[in-house]
Amino acid sequence: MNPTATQPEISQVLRTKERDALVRIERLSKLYPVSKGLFARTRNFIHAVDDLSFEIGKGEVFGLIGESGCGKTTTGKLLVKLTDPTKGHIYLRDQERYPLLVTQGDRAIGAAAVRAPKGLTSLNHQQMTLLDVALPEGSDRRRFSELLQQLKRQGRSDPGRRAQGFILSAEIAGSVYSLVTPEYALSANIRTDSLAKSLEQLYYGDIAMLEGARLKSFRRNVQMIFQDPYESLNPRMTIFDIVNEPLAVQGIGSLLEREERVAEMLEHVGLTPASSFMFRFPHELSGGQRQRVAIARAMVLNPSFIVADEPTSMLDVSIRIGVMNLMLELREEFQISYLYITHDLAVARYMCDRIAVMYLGKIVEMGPTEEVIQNPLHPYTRALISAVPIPDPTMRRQPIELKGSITKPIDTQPRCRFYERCPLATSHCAEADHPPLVDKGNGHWAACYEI
Amino acid sequence: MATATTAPQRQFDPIWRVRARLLRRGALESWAMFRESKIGLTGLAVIAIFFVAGFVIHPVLWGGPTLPEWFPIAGGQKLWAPLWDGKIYDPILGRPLVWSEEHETYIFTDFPAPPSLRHWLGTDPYGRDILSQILHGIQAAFVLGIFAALITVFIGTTIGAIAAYYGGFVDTFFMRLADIILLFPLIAFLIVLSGLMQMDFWSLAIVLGIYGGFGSITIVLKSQALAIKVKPYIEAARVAGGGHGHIIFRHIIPNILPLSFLYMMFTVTSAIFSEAVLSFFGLVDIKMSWGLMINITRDAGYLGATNMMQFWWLWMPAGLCITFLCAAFYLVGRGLDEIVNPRLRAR
Amino acid sequence: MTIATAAHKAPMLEVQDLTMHYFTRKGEVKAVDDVTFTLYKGEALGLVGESGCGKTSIAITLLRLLPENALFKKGHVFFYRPYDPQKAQRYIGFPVKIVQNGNEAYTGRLREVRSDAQLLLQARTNGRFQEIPVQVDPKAHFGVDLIALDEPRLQEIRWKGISMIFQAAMNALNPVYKVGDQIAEAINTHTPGQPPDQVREKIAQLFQLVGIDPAMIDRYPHEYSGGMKQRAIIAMALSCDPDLIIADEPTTALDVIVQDKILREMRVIQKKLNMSMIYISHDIAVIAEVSDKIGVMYAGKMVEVARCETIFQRPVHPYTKALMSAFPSIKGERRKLESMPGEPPDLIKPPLGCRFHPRCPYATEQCAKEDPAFKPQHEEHFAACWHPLS
Repeated sequence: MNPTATQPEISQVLRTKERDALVRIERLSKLYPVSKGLFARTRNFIHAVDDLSFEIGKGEVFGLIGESGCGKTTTGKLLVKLTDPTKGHIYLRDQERYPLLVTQGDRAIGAAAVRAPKGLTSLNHQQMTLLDVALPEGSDRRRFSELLQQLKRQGRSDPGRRAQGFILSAEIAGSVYSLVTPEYALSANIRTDSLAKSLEQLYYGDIAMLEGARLKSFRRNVQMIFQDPYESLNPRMTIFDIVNEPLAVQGIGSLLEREERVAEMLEHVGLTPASSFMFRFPHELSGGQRQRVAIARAMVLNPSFIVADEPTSMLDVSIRIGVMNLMLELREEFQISYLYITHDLAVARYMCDRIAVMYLGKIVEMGPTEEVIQNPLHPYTRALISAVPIPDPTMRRQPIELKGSITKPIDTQPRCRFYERCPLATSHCAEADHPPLVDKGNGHWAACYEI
Repeated sequence: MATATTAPQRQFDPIWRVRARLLRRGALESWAMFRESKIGLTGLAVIAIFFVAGFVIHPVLWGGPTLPEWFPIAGGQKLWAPLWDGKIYDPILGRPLVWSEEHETYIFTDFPAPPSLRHWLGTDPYGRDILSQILHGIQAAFVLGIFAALITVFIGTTIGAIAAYYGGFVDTFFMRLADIILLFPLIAFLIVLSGLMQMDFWSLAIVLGIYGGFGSITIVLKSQALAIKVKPYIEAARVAGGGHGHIIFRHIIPNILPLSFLYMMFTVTSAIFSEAVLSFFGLVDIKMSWGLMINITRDAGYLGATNMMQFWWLWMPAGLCITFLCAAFYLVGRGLDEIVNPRLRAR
Repeated sequence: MTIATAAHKAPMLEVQDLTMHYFTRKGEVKAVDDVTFTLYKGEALGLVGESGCGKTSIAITLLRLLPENALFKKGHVFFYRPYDPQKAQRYIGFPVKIVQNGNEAYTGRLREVRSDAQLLLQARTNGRFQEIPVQVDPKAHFGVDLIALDEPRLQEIRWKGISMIFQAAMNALNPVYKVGDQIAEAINTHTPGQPPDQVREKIAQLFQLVGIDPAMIDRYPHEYSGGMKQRAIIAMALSCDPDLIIADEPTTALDVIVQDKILREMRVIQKKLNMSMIYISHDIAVIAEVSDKIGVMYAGKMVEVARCETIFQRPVHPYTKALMSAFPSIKGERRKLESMPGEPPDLIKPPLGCRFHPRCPYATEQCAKEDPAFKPQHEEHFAACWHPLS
């Protein structure tokens, strides 16, 4: 293979990585078993979330819209690992994760992701944690792991070259192996062969299989805001205890430092002065204030991604906007990404950059918010949008009638989920599988054969 | 929205002091609510009377302070010795009086003697003072009841929370165990047990406590814990990274503790009652208790259908004390019920 | 204060100075304070406000379905029906109000029905009770004060006169009885003596009206979807041909497509049967879809009542304006919404003066001291504000 021909590939990876997604979901499915009847033998499954794929960018608010039972809450729970997926992957871009190439001479023989909490330059390679490896087709995985262990033990490095991206090198069994960053590989003209694609994957960690200490440290990055502020705060804990809990569980800081951090966070979410809220109980606060406490709890670990499950649907109108604006402000300030789950299209329009409309566990339409709402393509989205009441009596809507009502996705037929209710359904829809999400231009995706 | 302006140096009270303040306020609030319950207050008053009688009056009467040797009158003796003559009033060793020329006192030729000025509640078949036996019995009842209840609540709360949290096999195991214990006849079990081992005061309390802890209280607390387990704040704790122990001990147990405390009151009642029954059968190695007083009466043949009412002072004071103290703890439990279950509360 | 009856419309319900508080351990919750409004025949009124503003409390006060700790303070609720001397006999001894020829109104305790065209009222004039004979027009509207009625007479009005659809009422269907039987029971209780065939026929008609397949009559509630249950509840509310239906958040628990369908159907039925409706909702968008007239409530007070279009185009009360600008919409410009400062007040100790003044951008000293009167601002447009916006 011509070495120079592969170089554009790796520069492509490096270029896209900057704007790349923070969260990437691939073919995610969650099935719940249901048994029909009391002593039924056959196991049936609810396809709560079925083959979902989407990405959420850094600092983006991604809305998940749908009626009750469409799987939007399950998706949220999967993303924060409150429940495990049946199939599929959830990749999260981890700030402390660095992909590195292992080179032999001028050729990369494999890639590995390592954990470097304080950056690569101050990495103590003898204690570094290997997170994942990527190898070209046909390589021996075990031999590569042994090689990495040896590199870890025998590797030498000097700070000057470290800063350029040359992490370490060692002579093992007569040949020199080294560990370098992709940037270094690009500048040193190292052949990467077919590694470029898997290298891209190494920027992300698959959270689907996390356990133990790694799961716990993952929790620092991803948090959740719940729907009901009355039920999501323990009534026997003070506000301080509630906001402090993530810090205490993660063992961050001393008690005094945590106190300051909690107070700072409370003032950030508009509960000022913090000292007058710190030692109150949730029942002494109003709904809006409680939801602010819940936001403070989610923000206190400085996460990069927050799942917000209908955070304002239980709040009163006059308070709702305050909480929504607060979430948008925090996004600006801390560059947080949100997965914003809601049934209210008007709220989604206000909050989200992009939205995805779900129907029975499937995404039927996805795209920039304004584009989807003003120009819906999928018949379900159209019906949904036409049914939203408008707070203006001078505007008349043209409601689109749908047949039947929403059902449960139990042991679904291999055809479009919306077939039974669809006004556009044809014989092709009845025979073909569920339509794939197809890009219809402007980043607007829809899953329908008839548009 | 007002953005935060961080104050330069925030001065908080130390956390422990704030917590102490909150605890005090919580206790005062609960007391204010409890005070509205008339039955609860009645129960508390009865318990207070028993407590004062058993833990204040009795020890004082029992002898009071000992006088120093050099004291001219009755030096070296207890202060109340003239009033509270251990020879006469000791609940266990007090011996019957006999007529003596030199003392020129009344003779009780036949024991038991009915209430008199010297023996306010009469004497038992051996001639011992009933009132001092009653007072002595209070201590036994209190200590046994509360000790057993503490064990019960500790076990019940922990098991209930764990069974609810883990579910599955753990849950099934403890729930079936509770079913077995519920079906098990307690008294018969205790009778058999007292044949197998020497049952003294403390071992009885421990047996009663363990028996209660794995019994119905587990089912009640588990169902409460199940309601807590599905609350979003449990999910929030998991998202924060909290482990199983953290969730059980920081979230579930604090939320079922009020109910545990309520059930503790009911457990006290049943422990006192069980002890009385066992003592009545003479199966407990205990110096004196209310149950034992009735046992002595029966053994001496005064609990027959024909003479029972005639010798009422032998069994009625002890019987009433058992009833009243049990009822009092039950009433306090009912009063607490109104705090724990806001549905029962008058608006 | 009485609101002059518009000449061309038949009154249905007149609420005057209605005040109802709840007694709690912390103090008296001033849940409904001096609420006044009039509803005409065939009109739909939307009551909108945040949770705890007293909108549901008004509904249960109208029908006197009050909980034990409710303290009724003062006020009248006149429920009007066409004058019928036979029926008027039933209300001798109770306060009534007769409205006829546009704006002629007589209030007093009914003493006697002298003839078909003459009534004797006992009324207080110049501080003394006097008996006043009233000539009654055959087209007069005869109003009875629901607040003063005794339980048996009130029971006659519930369901047949005014029926109510409660919040989350679809969960109130008894799971062990067929839906049709439950509706039949409601009919038989309130209008006894109808042959079963006729009742069944009636239920089938009702089902058709609310859009359920009449074959579902003999099905159990678990075979119904959420939307169908809510329709069945609406059918039940319609079963005794009421003149007025009060619907408290009838579609809140439902999904948007089902909600939209049911709202449209209710609107059609209301127009078709020329019924009066009171919709209660926190969602101003829902209210805008179904109402002719909107009443905005804040902290136990009615702050503004006007026709639907008027209230959207020319709100008078600052709270109404703030409420409307706090609602995101899927139509129109995507703009930054302004949040209202503060929180709704604690109704045990509401602020003195206007209850909205601590959050109001236009508040002055006067607002903090004196309670503004609920008075007409324009034609058919009432508001309680010292500094009306237009």
